[in-house]
Amino acid sequence: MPDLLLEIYTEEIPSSMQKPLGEQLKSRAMDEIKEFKLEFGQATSYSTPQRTILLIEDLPWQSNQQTIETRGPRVGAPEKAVEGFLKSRNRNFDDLETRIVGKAEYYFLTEVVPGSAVNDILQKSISSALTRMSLPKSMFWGSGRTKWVRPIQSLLCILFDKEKKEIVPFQFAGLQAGDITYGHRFMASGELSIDSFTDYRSKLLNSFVDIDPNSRKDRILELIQNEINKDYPNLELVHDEELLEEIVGLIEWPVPIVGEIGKSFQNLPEEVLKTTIKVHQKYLSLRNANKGKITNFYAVANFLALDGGKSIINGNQRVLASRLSDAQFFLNEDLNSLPSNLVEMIETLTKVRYSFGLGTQKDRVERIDNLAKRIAPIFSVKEKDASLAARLSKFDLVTNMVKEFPELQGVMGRYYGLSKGIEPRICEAIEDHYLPAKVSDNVPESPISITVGLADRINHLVGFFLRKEIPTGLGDPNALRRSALGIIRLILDNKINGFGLRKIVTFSVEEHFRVGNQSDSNSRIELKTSTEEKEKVIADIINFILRRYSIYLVEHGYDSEIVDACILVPNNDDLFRIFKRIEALTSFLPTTSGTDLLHLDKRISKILLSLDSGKHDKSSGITSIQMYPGLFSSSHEISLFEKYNLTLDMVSRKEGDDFLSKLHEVSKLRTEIDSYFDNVMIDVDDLKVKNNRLNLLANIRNMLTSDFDLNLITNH
Amino acid sequence: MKTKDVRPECFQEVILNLQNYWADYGCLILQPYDMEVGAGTFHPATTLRSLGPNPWNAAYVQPCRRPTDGRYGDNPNRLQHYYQYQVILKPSPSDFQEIYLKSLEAIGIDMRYHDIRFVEDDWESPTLGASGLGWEVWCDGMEISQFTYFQQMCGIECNPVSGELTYGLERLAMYVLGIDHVMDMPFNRPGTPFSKTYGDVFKRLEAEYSRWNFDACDVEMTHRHFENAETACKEILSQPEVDAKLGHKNLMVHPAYDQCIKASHLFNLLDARGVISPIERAAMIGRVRALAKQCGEAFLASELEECTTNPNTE
Repeated sequence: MPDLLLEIYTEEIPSSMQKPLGEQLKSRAMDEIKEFKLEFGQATSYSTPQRTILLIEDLPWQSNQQTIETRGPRVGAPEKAVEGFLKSRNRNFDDLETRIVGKAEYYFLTEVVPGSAVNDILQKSISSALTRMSLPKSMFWGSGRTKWVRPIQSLLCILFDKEKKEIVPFQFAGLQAGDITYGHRFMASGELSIDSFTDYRSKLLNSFVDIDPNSRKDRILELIQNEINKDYPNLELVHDEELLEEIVGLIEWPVPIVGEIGKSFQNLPEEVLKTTIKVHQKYLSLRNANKGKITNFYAVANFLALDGGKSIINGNQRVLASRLSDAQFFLNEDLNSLPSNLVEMIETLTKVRYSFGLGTQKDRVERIDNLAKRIAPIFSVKEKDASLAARLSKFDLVTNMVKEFPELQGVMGRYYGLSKGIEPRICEAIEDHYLPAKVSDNVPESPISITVGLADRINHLVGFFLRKEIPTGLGDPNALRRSALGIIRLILDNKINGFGLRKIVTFSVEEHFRVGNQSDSNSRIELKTSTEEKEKVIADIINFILRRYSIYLVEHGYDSEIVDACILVPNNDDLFRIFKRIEALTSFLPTTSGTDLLHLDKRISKILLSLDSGKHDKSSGITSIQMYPGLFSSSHEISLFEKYNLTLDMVSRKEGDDFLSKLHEVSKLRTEIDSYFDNVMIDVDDLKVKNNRLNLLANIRNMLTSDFDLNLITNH
Repeated sequence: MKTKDVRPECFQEVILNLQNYWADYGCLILQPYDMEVGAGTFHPATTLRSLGPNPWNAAYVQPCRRPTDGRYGDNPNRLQHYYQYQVILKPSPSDFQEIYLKSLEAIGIDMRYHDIRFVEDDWESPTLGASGLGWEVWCDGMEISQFTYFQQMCGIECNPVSGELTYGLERLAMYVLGIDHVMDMPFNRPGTPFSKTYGDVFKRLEAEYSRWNFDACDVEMTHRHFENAETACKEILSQPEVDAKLGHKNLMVHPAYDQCIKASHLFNLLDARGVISPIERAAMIGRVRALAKQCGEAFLASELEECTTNPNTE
């Protein structure tokens, strides 16, 4: 059984796109081939910067013959209909067969489609797979009108087994597939004619191309480790999987070359070294075990140079040195110009605008400061610690280093703070209050960092909401969603109880009218002043955070109905309490008690809706609507009333966040409720009696409505 | 390739070698555009010629101004005025990368010793409404060129696609010549009676312009000039299409585009003065882009007309 080998040979495809491209090609090609009812074995994709490769094993040479049956008119139908049927398929009356379908007899035509060459099928399916690829970033080139990630140079597509090979000559992007490929751009020349996958692998390996990213990765690590063992026993590779993956997509033939970081640069803050080495130059770092410092690096070249890489490493060292001497220069400038009392730096921030209509960076920092002081008690943080960390949280934005390397904001703040004798825990907060910035970031645990982090983010949201810049659709130019997510993760991961959003947001809104609103003379945006409008902004912000919260939780596997049932209720001010309710409801609903609870809630809701036209709609709080025990007459309602009082008592005595017990207590009312519904007529003429009965039901339901909206659960 | 391309020994020989190489390839060797621009792309030979169906191959040196990059001539590799070597091939040839790599050999980079990489870098010019996909080219970890396939120019999709090469001449020459500080680079052949360094030619200018860009340039006046350039551009394009003297259509695309270039540079000056807030910034970029778009559309209109009236052009 033959295998199919496809290679799309292109100009350099960005590292991060190579694997997804190969995977998509594989699945599209498999889908297309399956359309033709072809069976096949394993499919594998490989990639290099210049190649996207697909191997599909164990295809047939020939597709099976197929019998296709077509039903025509009923037997006895007008002659014209039968003639038409035959004509449309170019067949004679003799070919007709009859068969009974249901109660009638029909004419049938059967057609035997002979198997066709799989080569023909593949030509169609491969070009169709390539046309249907959805490429997030793609381009035109030359005069062509085909899109691909980067220009395609040639196509190889062969079908082969041990005996023979066929070219699958499909066409795409103005090229026709053949059996030719090329070796390494700089270390090989001429065409390679390919007969099989084994032939392909070995000819390319001889031409300095390793098509398998994993094998390239292993080769890099092995070469580095061998050299370290042999020549640099004191050095250890700083493992960085993400960087290694990127490097693997930048080379077809890895040639790691060790370089040295100039002595004078080894004392730069490690983050500065790392940023330059990794982000800008894509080198792997080496730590000297004796010194505990990063002293060397590996550049992974794509080329075995004539001089063994001497020029290459000299060049790389020069580039690195020039970047690092820039950094060194800026660092020294900063250290010399920063005041010994760093808090004075806040005055420098007056010169920098924060954002239109929101004053200067100093105004921003003052608002963060006031908010942090307001939040501090929740975390048992001393007001003066919160305040100092907040006031120092943004000073590094005006330093040379951060202007030059914006990704080092916070990091430099901590570094300069330590160098000017600020307490380490405050310095830690200067750096960590930015975290989490991206999904992979850890969430800080230090109370001061959390305090400043929350203050910064709430201030951010409030400012932009006041300015009416609310993200819509996919756009979020001011990264407000990221701030909301930061708030959510800080509270959730640290299990923070009692962080009342409304109070804090309200305070922050007021802050915007106290601080900085006047000092910005260029302000063209008038902040809203009326109380009504302020209230609307506050509600909008809270809803925005809750919406992100709901999305976040659903992404993390929580049921969206349960999440909504716990968020879309009056008590939704405390994010961690909401989370506890979600956990409680998630574990409670699948139990029999859960079924009981949903059952009784549905029954009550239904009757309240039909007899009361929503008058008893979810009133908040556990406080009961007035009932008159004297108006209860039947034993069923008296017993329900008594059971209700008992339950209410139990529920209110439970700990505020023992939601599981509360759900459980209420669910136990099911039997009484059922017999109440079965035996008591609610819709009576005496309005007093009717209302009294409805009030009892509403009160039962209201024991939970401020925390749960069970109406939103439909699929349990 | 001709053997006259010997290993360059000074800045101007790097330029001369590139000129020879691209002349041999068959490019028009044009001269710099006589206006202040932020990049070689602004030259109408790239911006406007990359639009429409007609083939176009050109190469030229373009002095560029980046007011925010001024460092008074002290920084080893940052300048507010520097040179780019710009090549545009339309449509982009299928062996564009190979042709480019040979140009590196022409300026003395021996491919047997160096690690050349094409590293992802998507290019965008918000003021020109232009974007493209391509790479920055690294030689031993150092960026030596930008390599771009234009996808959009003046907000108009490019068809066919132009390939654009931009060599940062100072940086490239410093690399080839092994110089660490730009001001120390020999401008002409060292050891000759009138040998000069880059610093001899430009050090003083860098200091003067840095002061002008950062401190002296009058904000109100520059703002006014920006507004004037914008108005002028629009007015030029809103004139009647028919030239009264010639008696037929004569769109003034290039004069209008000059005003767009001017507006773009004045915006850069204001930006260097640090007087533009982020929101104003976005608004001004949008205004320049709107001008570029109108110029591009006008160019395309007259270009297409030429195609239909002149039966010899395809």
